Amino acid sequence: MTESQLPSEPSGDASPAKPDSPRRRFWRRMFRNPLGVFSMIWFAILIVAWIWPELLATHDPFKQDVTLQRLYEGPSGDHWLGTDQFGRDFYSRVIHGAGLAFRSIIIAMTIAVGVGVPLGLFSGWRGGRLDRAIMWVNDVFFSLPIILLAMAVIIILNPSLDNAMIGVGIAMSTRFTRLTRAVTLQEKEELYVDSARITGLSTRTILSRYIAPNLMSSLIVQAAIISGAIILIGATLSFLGIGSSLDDPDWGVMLNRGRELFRVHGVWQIVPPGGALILTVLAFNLLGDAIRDAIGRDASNNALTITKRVSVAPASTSHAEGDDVVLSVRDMDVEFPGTDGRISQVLEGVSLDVRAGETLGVVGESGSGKSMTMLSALGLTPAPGRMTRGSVQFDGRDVTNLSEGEWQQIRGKDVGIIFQEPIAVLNPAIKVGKQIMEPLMIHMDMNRDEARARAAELLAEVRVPDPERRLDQYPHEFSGGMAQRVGIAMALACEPKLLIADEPSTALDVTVQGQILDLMAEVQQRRNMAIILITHDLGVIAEAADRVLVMYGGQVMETASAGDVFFNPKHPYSKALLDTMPQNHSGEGALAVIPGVVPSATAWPAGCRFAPRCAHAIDDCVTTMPPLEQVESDMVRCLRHGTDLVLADPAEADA
Amino acid sequence: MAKYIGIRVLATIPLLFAIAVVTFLIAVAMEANGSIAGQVCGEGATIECIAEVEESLGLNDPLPSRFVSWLGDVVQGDLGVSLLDRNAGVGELIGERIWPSLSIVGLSLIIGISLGMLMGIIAAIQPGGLVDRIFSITAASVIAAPGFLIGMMLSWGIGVELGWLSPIGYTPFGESVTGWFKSLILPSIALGMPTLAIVQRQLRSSMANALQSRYVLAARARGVGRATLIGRHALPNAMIPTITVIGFRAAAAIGLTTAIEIVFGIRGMGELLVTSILNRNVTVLQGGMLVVGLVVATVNLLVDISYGFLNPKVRLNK
Amino acid sequence: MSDELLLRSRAAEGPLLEVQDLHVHFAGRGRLFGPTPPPVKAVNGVSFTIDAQRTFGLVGESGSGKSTVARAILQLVDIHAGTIRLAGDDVTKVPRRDELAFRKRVQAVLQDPFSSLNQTHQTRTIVGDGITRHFGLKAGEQRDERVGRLLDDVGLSREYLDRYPYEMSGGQRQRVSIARALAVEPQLIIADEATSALDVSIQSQVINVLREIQRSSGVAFLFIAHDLEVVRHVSDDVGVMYLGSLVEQGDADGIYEGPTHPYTEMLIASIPVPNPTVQAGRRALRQSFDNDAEPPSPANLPPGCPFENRCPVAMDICREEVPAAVAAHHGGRVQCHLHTSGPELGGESVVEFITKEARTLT
Ligand SMILES: Nc1ncnc2c1ncn2[C@@H]1O[C@H](COP(=O)(O)OP(=O)(O)OP(=O)(O)O)[C@@H](O)[C@H]1O
Ligand code: SF4
Ligand code: SF4
Ligand SMILES: [Mg+2]
Repeated sequence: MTESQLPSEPSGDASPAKPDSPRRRFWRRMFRNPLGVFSMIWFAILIVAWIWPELLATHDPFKQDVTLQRLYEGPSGDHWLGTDQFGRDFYSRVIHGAGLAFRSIIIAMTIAVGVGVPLGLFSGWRGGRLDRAIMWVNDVFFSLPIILLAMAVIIILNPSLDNAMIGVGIAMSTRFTRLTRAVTLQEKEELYVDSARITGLSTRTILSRYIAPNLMSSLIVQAAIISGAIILIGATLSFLGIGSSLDDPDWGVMLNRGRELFRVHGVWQIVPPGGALILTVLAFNLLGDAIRDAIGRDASNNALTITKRVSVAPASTSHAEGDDVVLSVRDMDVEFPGTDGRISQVLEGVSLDVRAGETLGVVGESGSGKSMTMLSALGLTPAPGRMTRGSVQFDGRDVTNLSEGEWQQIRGKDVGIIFQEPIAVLNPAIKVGKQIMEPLMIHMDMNRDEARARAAELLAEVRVPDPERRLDQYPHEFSGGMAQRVGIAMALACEPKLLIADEPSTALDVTVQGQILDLMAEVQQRRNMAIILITHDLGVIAEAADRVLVMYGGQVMETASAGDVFFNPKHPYSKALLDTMPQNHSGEGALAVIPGVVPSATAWPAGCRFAPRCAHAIDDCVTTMPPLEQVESDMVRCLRHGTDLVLADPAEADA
Repeated sequence: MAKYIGIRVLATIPLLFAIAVVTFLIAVAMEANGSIAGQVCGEGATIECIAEVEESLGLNDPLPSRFVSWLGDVVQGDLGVSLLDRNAGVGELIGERIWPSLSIVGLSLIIGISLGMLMGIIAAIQPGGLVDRIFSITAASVIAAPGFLIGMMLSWGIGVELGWLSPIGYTPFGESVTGWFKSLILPSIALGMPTLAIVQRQLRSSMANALQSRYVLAARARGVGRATLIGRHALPNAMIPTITVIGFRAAAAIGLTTAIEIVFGIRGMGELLVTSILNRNVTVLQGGMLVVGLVVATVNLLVDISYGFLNPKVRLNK
Repeated sequence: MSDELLLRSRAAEGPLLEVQDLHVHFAGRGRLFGPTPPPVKAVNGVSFTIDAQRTFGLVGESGSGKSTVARAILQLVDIHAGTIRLAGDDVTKVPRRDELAFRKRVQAVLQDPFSSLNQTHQTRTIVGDGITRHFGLKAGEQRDERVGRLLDDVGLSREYLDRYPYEMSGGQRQRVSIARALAVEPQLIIADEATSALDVSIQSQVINVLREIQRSSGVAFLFIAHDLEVVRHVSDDVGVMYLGSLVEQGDADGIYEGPTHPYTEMLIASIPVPNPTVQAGRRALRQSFDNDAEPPSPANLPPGCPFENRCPVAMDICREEVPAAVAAHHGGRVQCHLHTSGPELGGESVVEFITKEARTLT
């Protein structure tokens, strides 16, 4: 074999664009978040107040007003925040108090991190009984009130803020032990740690270069929030009189003094220290949140967030005619606004039809838009995605613009959906029987007993052994194959006209896959139901599909009868997919490949989306996007279709 | 389930034992840090006084046997007598003081948990929406304020300025039930506000997670309506981490009520503990710590049991 | 030395890897105060050998113990019983001081291209770490040059030297994983579901890289996958696992054309082929195995044959006795009572027997 036969990865357009480095992205997000900026500035002020309080203070915090003229004052030009019962300047006392607060954080945090992190690392890395014993002791301390632990230390030593902080530090170390251990345990299971061990790296290297950096981010978030808590506890102890001494400009002490005075001398006596306290703790909490947001992903959308309605541009082609057309989609576009303002068009001009009693197989590589097509057709486009063009007809009715309420009448009743991950789609906290009964009670007006009886029948129908007992079990008691049968039972509960199965057998073992496919075929025959079967496995398509829809890059590349796709593919992508199957490979040589990678949805090629990987591409393909052409009852999207292009039929040759 | 509860109850025993050991060691450590007896008897203490105190505390016996006899007394409900007042049994002292504290903690938890859950659910429905943002800013500020400060503001605002409720004081249950309840309102709100905020934040985030899950999408694909999705599908799963947080908060509230009691001038466990720390009154301290530990252990047990109710996986992994 | 000579000299020393009667148990994890659940018997007496420069494929359903076998060889889990030898050296439990030497000889490419690379390092470090550790070559131009040559071998341009994992596609990451394994010039590479997470088109790219590397460097492979077609394509010999037992092993084509274990036959019949006409015919064969029983839990194995409750031709003895391994016609071994009791197939293929049996059943 020569060098050239080795498939190589060109570094050109086919490779994904270089994204921002995580560090740059982190700081960009931090500075864009106003709350993050506020908290960072506040943090800086605290540090200055700790190191060099005179820089910020305007008066001596201990200097009393011997004239007794200026006690209990409100804010003024001289005393920005007024004066206390001895005429001392509140502003300067608050600034010095900030220094004390920061000092407390340093003491408690040093102990907490110094004890908690090594202990957590050790416990998590070591594992076993010792780990469980350590964690048990840790949890006992974790569950005791921190104030109480701090009191215990104060009792043993003497009342002082520093001693109290030793107690707080020990109490807080339990938080760090827990967190560090959890991260270590999780990271330890990660494959890259295994890989490092296999490479022969030493435990020290793995801990310091692999685990520690990943631990860092969680620790920093936690440290920010705990700093806030430390200040709160310090203030509470000082307030109780068992922290700072009664002359110190400590916020808690000031509040303690204020406690006796505010009912008489006005509430202002507690405002400066109270305000400083609240703002500081708030700043730490916000800092933690900001760091977490800047590190993590955006979690502001969920399955209930229904995207704001946008006007959907009409389709330019008309729907298929005929009474037996169950679902018909025309020219559907779906877009996702990205975080950086770029829009990714995940579906473009998708059209499909499926008729009663027919199985439409949908194939394509990961990310080609198979799942998105089905979700969007049923109004389930995940937020913030939205359908911007197209038309959907279900059972002869235009459903493009249905409201969520109207969809609820259709979903589960006229159309059932089976998902890829059978266990993940079952609610772990609800008995399986109740979940199957749900659509029956919603759509079929059954009462509890009727629904339960029917649910048992359904389970028997999908051949789950011992259905009555199974109804009362929870999802985690089901194997993947049995859970998928439950999924099918639920989807079929209300005898839908259309069943959409998104990779129903991909997560299952191959010996179970056949049973699931048989089951679907059996029900289809009995009820003359339409099925859309999404899969990336051409073998499954060969087994079950009547017609096939081939997708690539968010577009339909070809639709045709199953026989045509396998024996006479019209599109170079269909042909290439078939060729890469190991089953279609004969002899000893290298397997056929499709060079390059699937392009990203934010940067589709300008012309044909398959052009960078197509063995038959010509110059035009790079610049002109081929239209989806109707060829009799089939469709194909290729510039060279109908010209001199010849695609041999691989399956035939083998058969 | 019964078996699960049984195992959890048994698992509380080592926890109680650990609390007893810690409490006992506090006294030992105090002694190592300077003679307790000397402190109790005050400056110019007589030899007799010191000898008497040391004798009554059994300070001259070896540690393990002291622990055993101390634990024996404790198990029989004998917590000893106050070092400052030989006529005051620690048990009676605590029995007097614990009711105000428990009442405040209990009511504060009821307020905090119920309102916190309600607000958490509402916020989770439209994450990033107006209500969510208002709630989360409010929650963040409330979490940043210590309960005693909230207490002072309530006492000033509602007690002094508006005069709706007494700004200070406690009416025992036995005297007047309505008076008792009225005197609890402000302290409980002060202690319950941070609880509310903590529960709200936790539930909001775990609800948001649950609502993002595949099973909610799948339920929506079955035609399940919004209310059911939130109440029956997302909530039970979101409650699992929330219960844990509630447990920790309940324990913390037991510690934090000390400061609240002082704001409102209520003679509860808080005042008892603080004064005995300042007076180095060991027996009262030990008793107080032990009782608080017992309450914390009970709270933990309740959390564990409700965890079992919510999470079928835990329950069946007997 | 020519390739053939090398091959012969290695063959003379016996097999490269020899796994004998391997057992791996995972202790149940209870709480500190509470009952301990029974151990999960993940691997139950597995024996096989791999010769130098050969590829041994291991197939089986999820949870059948394939990865545990790999992890046992890689010293990542504790072995309950059995021995493992590498070119004659006992490596069942490698002592700490010999670990580095062992790591130099056995490398791995793991399943998930997204988590098997550390996100915080560039390719040059990911691949170069091993070179530093085993050849003492510190980070720098010389090491980069060596990493660059490895990237050439796996078909990546040198531009990928300073890429982070999150800047690469799944296929590219798997190539980096392969380069990392090659960097220490091992005798054996364990590929645990190395291509399973990839799309078909990318999967065949990676498989071609693996095969080309074996051809040029002579490394032996333990190739683990659940996809039988892929395993058949890359392997010289194949082992089929079911619930911790290696129920059948032998020459790859021999097994595919004449399986001697009912489970192997069931697996082969279950693979849908991408040809509607052919597949329509195969459906009947597959359906002859249809059976709604669930496989037993590895924490609670039956006393007899583990496949007994799903086997279409199970006999009474299957419920009582674990079948012993006997010689099969393809030169390998099979663990099934059909070959020793009952119909006495004597190591012959089970296909005809099962189809006949199925016909009488329906
Ligand atoms: N929430 C989202 N935000 C932005 N883009 C998304 C989102 N969900 C999916 N996409 C994009 O939509 C495109 C189509 O995804 P889809 O899940 O439909 O692919 P698929 O063909 O089902 O793939 P697979 O075989 O992996 O299931 C992909 O490019 C994906 O990255
Ligand atoms: S349009 Fe051109 S690049 Fe696209 S599939 Fe057809 S031949 Fe290939
Ligand atoms: S031993 Fe018995 S049950 Fe097991 S595979 Fe053979 S015939 Fe079937
Ligand atoms: Mg999908």
